[in-house]
Amino acid sequence: MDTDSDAGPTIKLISRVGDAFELPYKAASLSQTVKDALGVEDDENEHSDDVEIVKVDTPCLEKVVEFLKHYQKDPLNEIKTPLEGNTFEDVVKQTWYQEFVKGVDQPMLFDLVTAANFMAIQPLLDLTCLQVSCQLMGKSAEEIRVILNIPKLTPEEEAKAREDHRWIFDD
Amino acid sequence: MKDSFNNATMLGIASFLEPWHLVNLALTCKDFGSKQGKKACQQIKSNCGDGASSANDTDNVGGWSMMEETARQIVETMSTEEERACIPRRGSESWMSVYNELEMLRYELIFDELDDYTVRYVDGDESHICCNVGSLDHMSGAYSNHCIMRAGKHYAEFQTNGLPSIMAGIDGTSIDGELVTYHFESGFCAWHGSDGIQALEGVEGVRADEASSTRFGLLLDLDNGTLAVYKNDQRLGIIKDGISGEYIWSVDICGTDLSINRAAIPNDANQIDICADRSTQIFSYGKCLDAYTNIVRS
Repeated sequence: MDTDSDAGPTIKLISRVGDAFELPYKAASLSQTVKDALGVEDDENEHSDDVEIVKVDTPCLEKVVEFLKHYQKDPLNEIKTPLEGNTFEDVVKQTWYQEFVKGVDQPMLFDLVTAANFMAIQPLLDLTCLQVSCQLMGKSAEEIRVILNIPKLTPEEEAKAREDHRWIFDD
Repeated sequence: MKDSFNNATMLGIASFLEPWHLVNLALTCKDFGSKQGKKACQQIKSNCGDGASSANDTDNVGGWSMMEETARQIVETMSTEEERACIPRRGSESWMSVYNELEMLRYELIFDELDDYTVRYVDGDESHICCNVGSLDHMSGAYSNHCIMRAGKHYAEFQTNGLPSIMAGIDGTSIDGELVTYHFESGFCAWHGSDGIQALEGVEGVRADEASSTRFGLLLDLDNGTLAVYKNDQRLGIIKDGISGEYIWSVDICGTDLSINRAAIPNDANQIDICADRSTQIFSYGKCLDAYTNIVRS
């Protein structure tokens, strides 16, 4: 493990195509997947300083590393349920995290959800899932299809789906 | 894009959504809304982890949809034991329906139905009602229809700025359902069934001068079939036992105001009181109405 005199020991996360991102071990250890890959609990032990994140592309991994580095300095406040507001900004009040999420396009947002899940980074998963949830709140099935880029159901498929979930329409 | 999401990530997204949002997701595509095969269902459980065991769920022949499984995970991992006791799943009931019930259980209590023009909300607050008419002869009713209680323990607190006449209780949701009431001032209790009205042994009431500083509570325990009355967290006693079915909170007020609030189950909720001997004399509706009227006018 390399040592940065200011940040302590560092490691490199390697993307699917081989691009490397260096960050403090403490920041990286927020990822349970990274911790498991390193196979140690004590950051003073000697071990490899590269961890391959084979399922995550370079642009996405770069954003993940950005998140991890910032989180180490300024942790995301816990997102409690039931939600304390109706919009993303009402729930996540920390400006940096608001801008982090708003600054990515839809495909990148979905990639971050997947990456956060794969890398087992709970705060990032909570943050990105919340943003997706807020986009889906109050939307009809048709509007959700547009957001998630889902093909339309045939009339027969839609009729069956409504029949399967009749209880809510009966209410 | 939907292919980006597996069952674990959908659980993360859905944990912030209300039940009807899950239904809308289920309506978007077969991947979210159609029953999975058995093998896929086992994979879903493997991916999501298993909160409470569902291994004995015999209705899972065709497998659950992703949204059903998500709703099940939410109900079983994000609710308290007390909450789950209130919403037992009925047969092969949709898990999204159960999740919907869980959400309703968490909403603040309000009076979502008012009898007529004689009662209104105070400053638009649906948990606080008052009478429009000043006549002491008119009882105005209000109900919490959104909160249907069918199992477990439920506790509601009531507060008023003054008497003269308030009755609160539970109302059965079926057409021939029973009504159990407690009159705040006199402590008079009654059971209204299909055969008539039965006066029950009353408990302590409250003086008019202490009404505004008093919190009345009703504990409906559908596991033990009892309705108990509390005054400022002090248990006064069980006014009715042998209760079963589905109920809502209901009140009648006359010449005053009343607010309702969902409160934590009292610590002594599991205390087993012996329900005092109750009068078995059944009054006709007319005779008991006279009794109520006398109370109202006193």
